[in-house]
Order: sequence, then structure tokens, then C-alpha cells
Amino acid sequence: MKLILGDNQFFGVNHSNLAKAEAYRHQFSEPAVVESFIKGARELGVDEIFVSTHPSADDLVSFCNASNVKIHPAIPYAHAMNDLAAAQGVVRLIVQRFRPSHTDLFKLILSYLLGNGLFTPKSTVRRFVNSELNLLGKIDNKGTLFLNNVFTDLIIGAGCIEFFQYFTSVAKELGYKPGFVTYNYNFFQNNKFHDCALCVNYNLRGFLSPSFDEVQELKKCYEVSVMGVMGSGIYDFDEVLRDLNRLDPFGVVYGTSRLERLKKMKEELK
Amino acid sequence: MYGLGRMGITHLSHTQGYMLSKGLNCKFDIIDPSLKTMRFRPIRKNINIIGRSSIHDITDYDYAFITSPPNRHNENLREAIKVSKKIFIEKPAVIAVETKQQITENFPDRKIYVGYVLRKNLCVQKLKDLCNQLDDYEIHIDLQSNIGLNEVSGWRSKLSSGGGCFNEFGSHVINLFQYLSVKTIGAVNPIVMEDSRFDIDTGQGRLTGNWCSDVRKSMYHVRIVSKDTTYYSDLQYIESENGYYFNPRQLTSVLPYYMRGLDFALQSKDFLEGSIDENDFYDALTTDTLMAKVLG
Repeated sequence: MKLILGDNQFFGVNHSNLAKAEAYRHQFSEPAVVESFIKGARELGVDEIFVSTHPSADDLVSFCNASNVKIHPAIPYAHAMNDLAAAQGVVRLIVQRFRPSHTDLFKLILSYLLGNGLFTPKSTVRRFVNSELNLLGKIDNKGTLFLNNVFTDLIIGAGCIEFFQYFTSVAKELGYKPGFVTYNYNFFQNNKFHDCALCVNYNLRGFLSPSFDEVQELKKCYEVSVMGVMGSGIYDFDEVLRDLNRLDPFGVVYGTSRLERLKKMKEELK
Repeated sequence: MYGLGRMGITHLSHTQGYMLSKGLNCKFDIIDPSLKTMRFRPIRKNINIIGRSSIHDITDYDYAFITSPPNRHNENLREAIKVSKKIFIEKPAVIAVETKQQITENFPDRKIYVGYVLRKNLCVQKLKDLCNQLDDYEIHIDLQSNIGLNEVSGWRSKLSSGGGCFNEFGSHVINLFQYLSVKTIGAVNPIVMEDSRFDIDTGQGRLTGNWCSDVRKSMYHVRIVSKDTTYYSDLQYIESENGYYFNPRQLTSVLPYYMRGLDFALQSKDFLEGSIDENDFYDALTTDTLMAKVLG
């Protein structure tokens, strides 16, 4: 089981306590503190990290490159997309991030005029992925390229399944394993995407989480990692560790602001 | 669906995702003046952009969603009540008194929900339970938004043109205050009312909001002050001075389709399944009145 360092703490995120989130933000406001944490994690043997395309993620990526940490980018950064859509409108967002190539634009118009409706062209997916990855700068040690849950789940609902097919293809072309973060794991159980990774929220209480058995089923088709295992710090650490060792996922994404917690997690996970 | 902007796309996606999770297909007709050039052909096999005149051909839509700009809500609701029994309106409602009267008199069976999503927040529901057990209390709500005044352009940035932070998210704060209050709300007196921030004295507590931009996402701070204790919540958890603690992550929660946060997913599920508290619609109309009172 791999231990993958989460990035929430570096960007001041805690989903269960906004005051803690602000405390994280202050703790990691200096790049030197982030750099030291990454080095410390590397010394503990934690050599993989999950990085969202947060506006200030480029420093984090540089420190990870310097320590030869494998990076799993998660795109897009949902808050930035939502804020952009709120401030500038959906049309401008689409033009900025999803503009298709001229050939695909012609195909889109033709498809529409023939009554076949609009579709997601591959050039659109490529532009979107490239523009998001550019926010992170150069990545030396490439892992899995994840589509984050807000976007994955929006696309599932919108019914644009072709987006996922093109995403897997574009990710592979760029040297990444394709992956999806999702809360709607049943969709991926019913629609198989080969050679992909999944990252799902998982916890002991069943709060927006698949059951133990459902994870076992998902593991038959996907490289399954779990996140949110500590419930932003409200679950019992030892109980969570026992459960994870029984669950045996491919990876555990764990964000913490304390190296000693990371050390304990690393030592206890089988 | 009236309006296919940011919230229109979100509701379309959630509705279809929910239906697909139940093994059902759905079809959407969209009325959006900015997409009028797309009325010629379906934009997806199950999504059509239609003209306003075409809507009367079908009078039994399962649902109607009003996700247009607020100044079109009233006109769209008057039309939607004729073609659908379940209607969702994004907040703020901005519905005229005559429309309310028309609904009461001619369409009493319509189930209408206004998207004050915080009512579905599990901490807010728990706070409501706690408030119901108190004799007397004050409610203080502070909201800080992650979008700064300088990041918002056009009419949205100015209170005088129908924007500003009060119009942008003041309705959420006032509606939440109504939900948690057991008293009839009388005074709502503005102490500060600027483009970037507001401060309102309600006589039962203070409501404040600020476009401060230095938080990652919008942050609510709710304090319920009673003579025995003070409950504090950021809507992620609740704690009190006397040791009370509640966190929704302690609960089991399974949804057929999840998107855009638990509050939003619960709101959409309840609407689609018809679990609508009719008081919520009338409370939303009161929110309109209270906002108008604040703005003078």
C-alpha cells in the first residue's frame, strides 16, 4: 500500500474545520516551511504527492522535483474554475480553457447542423489538460494525472462520457497514468475505463464513502486509492489504520501538517 | 430549464446524474435568450434549446428549473407554474406579490423550492434543533467571501446597480437567520451598507458580510448566544462552551448522486424526490421583503 502525501494543508484546506484551515494557511505561508516539510516527508520514505492546480502550487512542485518526489497532479482546481465562472461567466471560461482546434470546430458545427448534437472534441480536452498542467510548471517525476472530483462528477451528470475517453488518451500521451477522483464510484463500476486509477473518499463511518465490499469490487477493475480517511481529523487514528490495513487499497492519500503523524502512518501501514 | 449559465449547467448535471443513477433517462428543454441561435437543432441528443413560445406545447414537465438572472425569475415563474408542478428557483427568489397571490389562488398544488441551500446543511439543521430547545437567544452570522470587490466587474460590483456583496450573498445570510429564528422578524436595520460589506442589526443579533478575498472559500461563522451557553458553528461542525460537539462526518450518509458538496446534493435530491417543505418558499419571499427593507 502506497502512502501518498495530500496537499490540502499546504493550501490551507481543512474540510471539517475552517479555523484549522486558516491555521494551516499561516503555518505554510513561507515557502521554506513547505520545502522543509517535503524534505522531511522524503526522509520518512514518503515519495509521492497529490498536487492540485492551486494558484500557489508551483513552489510545491519545485520542492518535490528537487527531492525526486513523484507527483500526481489533480486538475482542475475547482474553486478557481467556479470563481472564474462566477466572476466572468461560463462562456468566457469555455473560450479560455476549452477552445477546440479549427478542425474540431468545423466538425462540431457539422455535427450540430446534421442534428447529431455537440460532442467533446479531443483537442478541447488536450487544451484543457495542458492549460491546467502549465499552472504547475515542469514536473520531473510523473505519476497519475487525476481529474478532480468536482469536474469528474459534473461530467458524469452532464453525460459527456467521451470526455473521460479522451482524457485517458491525453494523459497517456503526456506520460501519466490517467485517473479520476470521484464520489460517484458506481458510475465507474458500471462504465469500465481500462488501465485507469480511481481515487475515492473512504472512511469508517460511511460518510459519502463506498463500503469495504464496494472498494473490493472497484479494486478488481481499477488501481484504487482512498482519501479523506481521517475525516479531517475527527476519526480515531489507530482505528483508521487497522481498517486501512484490512482494506488494502493501492494507495492512501493523507494530508497532514505534522511530520510525526505522517511518520506514524508510514510505519503502521502495511 | 430557464437559463443555462453556471447554475443551470450545475442543476442539469445533477438532475441527469441523479436520474441515471436510478436507471432513468431524461430530456431537457432550455430557454435561454443568449443561446437563441442554437434553437435549430438539439445540442445533445436529449437537450434542446427552445423558444419561449414552444413551451406551451408541453404542459406536463416533471420539473422546471429557474436558473436565470434574478430579475427574470418572476416572469419565468409565472410561465413555469403553468407547465410544471415542481419548480426550483435559484436564490434570491425575487417574486412579485401578485405572482404569490396567483399561485395561492390558482395553482395551490405547485411545489416550489428556492435554492437557499444552507437549509440542507446538516449543521444548520442541528442548530435549528438546538434553537428549538432554547427559550431566548441571539443569532450572529458573519460571512466572509473569497471573492474580493476588485475581482468582480460590471453591475455585480455595485450595490447601486443591484450588485455589491449584500445582493450577492446577503440573501443567504438573511434566509439563514430566518430559518434559525423562532420569532417573527421585525427590525432589520443596516449599520453599514457598502459595496464590499454589510452589517445589519436585527434586534435579535447581528448579520455581517464582507468581500474580503483572503479566505480560500466562503466562510460562515454562526453564533447562537443563549443565557446558558454559546453555540459556535462554521457549518462544518458545531461546538459549545459547555462541551457540546457535532460533526456530520460522524454520520453515515449515502447519496445516489453527489456533486458540488453535500448541501447542494441533498437539496437537489430532496427537490427531485418531492421532499419539499412548503414553508421554505414563503420564507424565501419574506427574505425578498427583508432585503428590500434593508436596502430601503
